Amino acid sequence: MKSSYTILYVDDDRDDLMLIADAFEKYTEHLTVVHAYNGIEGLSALKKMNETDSLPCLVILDINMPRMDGKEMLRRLRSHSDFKYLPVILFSTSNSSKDKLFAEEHHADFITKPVNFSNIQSLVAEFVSRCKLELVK
Amino acid sequence: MNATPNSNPAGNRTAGNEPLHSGKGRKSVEEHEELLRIALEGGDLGYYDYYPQTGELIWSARTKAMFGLPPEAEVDYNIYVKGLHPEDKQRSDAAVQKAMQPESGGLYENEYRTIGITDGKTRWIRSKGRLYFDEAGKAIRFSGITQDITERKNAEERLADSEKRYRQIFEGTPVSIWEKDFSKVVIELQRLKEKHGATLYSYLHQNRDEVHRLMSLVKIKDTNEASLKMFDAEKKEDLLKGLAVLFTPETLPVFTNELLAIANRQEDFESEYPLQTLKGRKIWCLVKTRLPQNDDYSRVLVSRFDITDRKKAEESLKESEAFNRTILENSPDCIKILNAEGRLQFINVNGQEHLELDDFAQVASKCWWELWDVKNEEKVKAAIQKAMNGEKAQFQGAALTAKGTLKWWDVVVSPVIEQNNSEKPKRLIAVSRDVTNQKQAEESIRRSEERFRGTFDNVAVGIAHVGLNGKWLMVNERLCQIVGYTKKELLSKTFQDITYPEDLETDLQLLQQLQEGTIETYSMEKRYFHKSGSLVWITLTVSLLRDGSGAPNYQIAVIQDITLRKQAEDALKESEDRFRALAETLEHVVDERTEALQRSNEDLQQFAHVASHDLKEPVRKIRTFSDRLHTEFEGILPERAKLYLSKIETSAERIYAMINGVLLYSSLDADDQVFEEVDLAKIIGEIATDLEVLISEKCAVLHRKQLPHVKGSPVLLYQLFYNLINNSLKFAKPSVAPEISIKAEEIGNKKYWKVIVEDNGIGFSQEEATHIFQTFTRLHAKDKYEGTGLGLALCKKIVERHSGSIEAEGIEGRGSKFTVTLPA
Repeated sequence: MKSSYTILYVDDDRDDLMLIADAFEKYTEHLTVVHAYNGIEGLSALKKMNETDSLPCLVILDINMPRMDGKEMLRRLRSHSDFKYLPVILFSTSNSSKDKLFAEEHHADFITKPVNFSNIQSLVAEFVSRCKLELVK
Repeated sequence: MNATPNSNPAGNRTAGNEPLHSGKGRKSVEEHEELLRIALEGGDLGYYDYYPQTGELIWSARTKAMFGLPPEAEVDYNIYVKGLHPEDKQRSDAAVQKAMQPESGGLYENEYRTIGITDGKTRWIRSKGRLYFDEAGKAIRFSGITQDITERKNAEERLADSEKRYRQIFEGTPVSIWEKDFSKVVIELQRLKEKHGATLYSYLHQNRDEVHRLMSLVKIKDTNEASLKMFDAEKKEDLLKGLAVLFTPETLPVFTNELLAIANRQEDFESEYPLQTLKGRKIWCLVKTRLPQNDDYSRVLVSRFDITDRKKAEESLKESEAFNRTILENSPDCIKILNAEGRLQFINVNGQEHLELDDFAQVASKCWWELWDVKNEEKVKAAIQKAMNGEKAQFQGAALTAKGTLKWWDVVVSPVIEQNNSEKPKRLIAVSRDVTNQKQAEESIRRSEERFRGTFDNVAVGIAHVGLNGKWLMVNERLCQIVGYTKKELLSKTFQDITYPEDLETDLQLLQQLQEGTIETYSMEKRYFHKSGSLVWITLTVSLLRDGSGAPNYQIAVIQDITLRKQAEDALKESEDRFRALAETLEHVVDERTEALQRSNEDLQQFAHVASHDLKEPVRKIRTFSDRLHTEFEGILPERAKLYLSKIETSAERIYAMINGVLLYSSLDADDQVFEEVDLAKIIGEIATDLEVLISEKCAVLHRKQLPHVKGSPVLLYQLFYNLINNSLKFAKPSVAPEISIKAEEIGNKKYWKVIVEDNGIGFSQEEATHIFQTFTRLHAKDKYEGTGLGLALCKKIVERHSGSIEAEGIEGRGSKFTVTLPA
């Protein structure tokens, strides 16, 4: 069993990055959150991790981002042999049924960004437990 | 009207409605139609315009007049039916019904009678129209023109009557009558006369071959029953072969004289000559010819009387008295012997019968002229005088018999030549033939002929007799006016000469069918060349007259000038074309606009979606950070800051709800929801569970009854009833526990379900009910009752997506009732 694990969080919104970082604070002992600000950066971060054989246990993708959005990045992950089975969560303000359908079709979860901070905290707790589960596998 | 406006694609013609709703287009069409109407009225034509689906019927004043109605009269289809002649009703209605079927091509043409509704007059109307159909093949407009053709119809009837009467008399008369065509021989004689002048007489008498040639130019067109008897013929054809069949060598010189009479245009002339019957029997004939005065020699009437007995009597007189007497007594004629003073000495027995004498003594030694009418006295005396001078005298006259019967006599007076005596004759013989019957027959023929001529020349339509080869045999004034030729010019032409080449083929084909007997008559519209070279549109009606043996004789053509009508029709067609072009242009414009509208609608949806989406993010953050401020700094914040913070949170929450509403509303058009069978009871149950907190908070009661299965999208139907029930909870009276009832009724034989959501809340006025479904309509202050102003607009949109409807009813202060109708 690994002693620490990595989550890749791709979002251009610095406020959200801060909120998520705050929520992750109490798990930092075993956890590294890698940030990327758009799909292109996210992909190159993943490739680097792949070289050192340290792929993240979870990829969280915002949808609306400059240069390459979350949906496009998800599409590319699913057509890449090494990233095909990475667990991905599309994480957006939207609750559009189209986006939900897109997520489903690309074997990703869809979560609407919560409004209350307490809800964010419980969500992060869930992410962490999912990662632990991944590691057990 | 059964057309639902929503189901019509934009730009389609809607049944019963003018497709042009606004703008310059309609004005120009109206102006154009108005001009056309004026043109039609000016051109002796009426028009009508009927919209079968609305029943609206428009008649011009002229059309109304054709039904005996004043110009201001109101009309509808029943008036039209009422005005029809009872005998034409069924046929006319069938014609209309037939034209109403799209397979008919929408063309309608009919001739029918009307009985004037206010004046009771019978009129003949010709109607020609066109029907327009919508895409479903339903007739939506029926318009056309009407023409009063009473005069033409009457003329045709009168002409047919006159012809028929003429035929009857012709066939029925005991006198042998012949209808001969002299037109060729007249032209030929005219030529010979111009060539030989005064020597024509000797030229003809010396050139037998020439006389034979002229004889062959005379065409015998028809004869009657009396002729068959007289000439031992079994059928008419035998007698129609030509003059030569009956002529003997002795006939020729007299015939030559007849030709000269024709050449000199003598109106009336008589000749006596022997002819032979078909069995070779020789008979003497008195031949009377009457030439027409109007230069039309195509139908000259010739009568022939058998005078063989008289001739025999005359000849026999030269033989023995006793023998003579026998003959005299047997002669059917009235034979009298007069002395030199003209006193009666003898009348044969048959003669006495003719004169209705009981005894010869009654008239013995009376002067002959005393037996005659005073008017004839001079004629009788002159004949006696002539005979006394050794010549034969002839005259015709009327006299009363002893018993007062008026009889006509044909009389020949000859001197009795005494043997071996060259002195003045001592006795005269007068042979009178009773020609009363002939005279009467002739008279009726003449009258009938005159009547026929009168009709022929005076009717307002062109009439012509046309030979089988197309030559004009007889034409009337009106026809000459129509084509601009004089009678003489026209008679030297054929109808083919003046027919417009494009129309000739059809006419000839119909003519052939007519002559073959496959049709009895035909009518067509065609063009003639006017003498001036312009084209004249006419209607032509042709029937065929056959001779006694059934062989075609000549055609009777009735010709009517319809140039004006054609011009009106052309104008109508042109107007229709322009109208159609305009309509097409407008349809195109409507299509373009619809497309632009759709584009802008899509843009708007896209905009609403994007705007709401992007708006949501900052609002979410306001809420998140307010929340953190609230929870993390609870203890530090002063009360006033907390109050402000809670106001920020409430406002942000409302913005959030509104944005969600707009997003849902705008995505409803774009998303394709899958329809399936939905159990409403289950949906309402889910809603009740989701609203559990609110329901128990407000102590609300939810009654549910007989909720059906419907076809639809479960997500949308959830949203629909969620909004309605949520509204009922939201707009409850402050101090009354809400009671909400949801029940369903089946309508239209399980085709639809009515779902009624009723409450005892604050309600709304009926006036408010009318705009309650508009977006962002709020009936109440925000701070009093929460709401986004989108809930009911969304409900309406959802119901419409399900091809249903929603209605709101409310009594202010008593509650509200929403009725949702959904297809089962």
